[in-house]
Amino acid sequence: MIELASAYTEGLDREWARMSASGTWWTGAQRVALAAAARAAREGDELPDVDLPAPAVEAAVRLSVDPHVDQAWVADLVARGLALEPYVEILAVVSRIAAVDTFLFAIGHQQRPLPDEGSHTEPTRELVAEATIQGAFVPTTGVPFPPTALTAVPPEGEALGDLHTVLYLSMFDMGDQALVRDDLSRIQIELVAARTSLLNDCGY
Amino acid sequence: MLRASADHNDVTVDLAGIRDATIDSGVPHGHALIALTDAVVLRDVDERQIAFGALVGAVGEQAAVRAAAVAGNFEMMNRLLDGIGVGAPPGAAPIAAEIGVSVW
Repeated sequence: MIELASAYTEGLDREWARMSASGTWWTGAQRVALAAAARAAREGDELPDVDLPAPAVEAAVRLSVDPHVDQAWVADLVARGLALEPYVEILAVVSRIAAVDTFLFAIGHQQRPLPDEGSHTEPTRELVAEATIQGAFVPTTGVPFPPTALTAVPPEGEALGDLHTVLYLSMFDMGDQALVRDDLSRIQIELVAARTSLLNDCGY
Repeated sequence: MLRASADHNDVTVDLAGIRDATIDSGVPHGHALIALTDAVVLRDVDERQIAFGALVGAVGEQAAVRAAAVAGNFEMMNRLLDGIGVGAPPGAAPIAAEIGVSVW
C-alpha cells in the first residue's frame, strides 16, 4: 500500500477534525452525519439513519451524486426550511469529503472511517452581512467564482483553502505556471484538473 | 490553466486531447494521466489499479499520488461551483471550442 507523505496525512487529519467540530450552521455531529449521508449516497449504500432535517439530507445526497443543480432546486430547499447559508456549509462538507474519498480511492487506499461522533456544541450562526446574491444561487462577497464561493460561511472557505493546498496548489502558487510539485509539472497537473472537470461536466 | 501553463512553458498542447483520450494532448505522459483520471472519476476499481500502476511506472510514485490528489481536489471544486451555480468564466468560449465542448 502506498505510504502517504505526512503533508497529506496531516491535511486529512485537519479535515477530519474540522468535520467533527461544530461549524457555523451545523453541529459537529450533524456535519459528520452529512458526510455520512453524502458518502453512502455516492457509494450506492443505504443512507444512514441521521438526525437531520429532510432538506439537509436531500441536499447532501444530491450534491454528492449529482451536483448539477439549478436555481429552482435550491429555492425549493429554502422554501422547505433550509436557508442558503446552512446550504453552503452542507455543500462545503460534502465537497471536501468527495475530495478525500476520491484521493484515497485513486491511490488504492481504503476509505478513511468517519469520526465516531462529532461535537454537540452550538454552531456560531454568524451571518456575513456583506454577502449578497450576485449571480450565484448563494450569497457571496464579490462576484461569484472559486475564491468567493464560500464567503457567506468564512470558516468553510478557510477549510477549502487548506484542502486545496494539500491536494492541488496553494492560492499563492496558482500563478506559477512553471511549478513542479512532487515531480508533476503544472501542465500535467492541469491536464488532470481539466479531464476531471470535463468528466464531471462542470460548468466552470 | 492548461493553456496558460503550456504557453508559459512553450509547450504545444492539443486541448482536444482533454476531451478525446485518443488524441495526444502533447502533455508528457498525458495518456497515463488521463487513464488514471478516468478510472478514478468513473470509480472503476479494476481500471484504477491498472492505471495507477501504469502511471507510477511512467512518472514515479510521488507524481502519481500527486495526480490522484489533483483529481480529488477537482471532485471537490466541481461540486462546489456547480452547487453554487457558477458557470463558465468570461472568455471561456474559445477554449471550450478548442477542447470541443460547449459552455453554459
